[in-house]
Amino acid sequence: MGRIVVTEFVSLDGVMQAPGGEDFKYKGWSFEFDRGDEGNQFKFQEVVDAEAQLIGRVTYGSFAGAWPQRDGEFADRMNEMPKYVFSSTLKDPEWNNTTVISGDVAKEVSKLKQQVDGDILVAGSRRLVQEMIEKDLVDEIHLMVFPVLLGTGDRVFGETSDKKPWKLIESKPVGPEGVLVLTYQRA
Amino acid sequence: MGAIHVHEFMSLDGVIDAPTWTFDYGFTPGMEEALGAVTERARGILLGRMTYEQFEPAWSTRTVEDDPGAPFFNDTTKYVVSGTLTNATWRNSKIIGPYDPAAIRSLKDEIDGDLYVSGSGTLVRAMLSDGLVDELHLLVYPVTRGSGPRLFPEEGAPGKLSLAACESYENEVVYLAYRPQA
Repeated sequence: MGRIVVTEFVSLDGVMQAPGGEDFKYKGWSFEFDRGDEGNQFKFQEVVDAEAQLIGRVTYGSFAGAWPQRDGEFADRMNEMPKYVFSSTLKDPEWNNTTVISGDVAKEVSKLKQQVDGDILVAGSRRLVQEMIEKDLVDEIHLMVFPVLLGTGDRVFGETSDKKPWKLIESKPVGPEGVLVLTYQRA
Repeated sequence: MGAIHVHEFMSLDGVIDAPTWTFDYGFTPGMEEALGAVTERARGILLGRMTYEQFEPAWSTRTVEDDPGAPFFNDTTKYVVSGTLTNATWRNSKIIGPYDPAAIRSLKDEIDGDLYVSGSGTLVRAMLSDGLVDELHLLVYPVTRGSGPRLFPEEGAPGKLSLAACESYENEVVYLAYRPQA
C-alpha cells in the first residue's frame, strides 16, 4: 500500500515557489542557505526511501529539464526511479521512466496507492498537493523551512474546506544557518 | 532600552487569530517556561486595539490562581496602539495613538526592559515591515486551518532571520524563535 509523502522547501512565510531557480522574483532563494550535511542527508534519505515520485505538470517540466543533466547518487536516483506525472495535456514525457496519469485526483491517487507499495514522493507540485491535502490524501509532509521571509510568491498551504489536524513526527534544525525540518503525518 | 518580543499562537499554515482553537491542546510546562522567559524580561506590553479589547475582559477578571499569567497581564503597563480608542478602562493602560514607527521606537528607548506583544496582527505586520520586531516567538500548532488571517501577509517585507530556538512539546506544539536580521 502506497503512502503519499509531500516534501517542500518553504520560507518562514510559507512560500514554496521556485526555490531552485525557476522563474520567480527570488529565483533560487533556497540555495542562499547552507542546510548542512544533516539537511543534505535528509533530502537524500527521502529519495532513497521513495518507491516512486508523483509530480504535477509544472514541476515535472522543471525537473525533466534539470535532472537528466546531473550526476551523482541523488541525481541517479531521481532519474532512474518510476515517475508519475499528473497531466491531462502532456503527451510525450521526456524524462526517463515516466507514466502520465490524468483524471480525477482522488480516484487516480487512490489507484496509485494500490499499485505502488511504499512511499510516493511528491515535491513541488503545488496545485496537486493542495488538492490532495483538501481530499485527505497526503500521509506525510516534510517542510524544510528556511529562515527567510520572501513576502511574495505562491504558498504551500491553500484554502481547505475545514481545518486539518496533523501529527508532529519531528522538528529539528539542520546546518549552521537555522534551516529547520518539520515532519508531520496526517492525524 | 529594551527589545520588542512578539509572541503568536500560530497554525502550521500561518494563521493567527483569537486562539480559542488552541485550547484543545493544553499548555505544557515547556510552553510555560518558553513564554515565561519572554515575559519576565518585559516591562511593558504593546497591543493593537482589537487584541486589547479582547484581552481586557479575559484577563482583568483572573487571579494568579486562575492563571499564572494573570499578574503579568494585569500589573504590567499596557501600551495600546489605536487611533480611535480614547478611554482605556483596564488598569495600567495607556493609549499611545495610531501606529507610528517613531513613537514605538521612542517607547522602546524609554522603557527599561522589553516590550511584549501578542495577538495584534495588524500592528505586528506593520512592525515587521518597519523592522521594529527584535524577536518573534512562534508556538506552532499541529493543525492547518485552511482559512483565516495569516501572520505574514500576501505582500509583505522580505528579509532574512536567524533561528534562535527550536523546541517541541508532548502536545505536538513546536516553539520557534526567530530574530529578523537588519
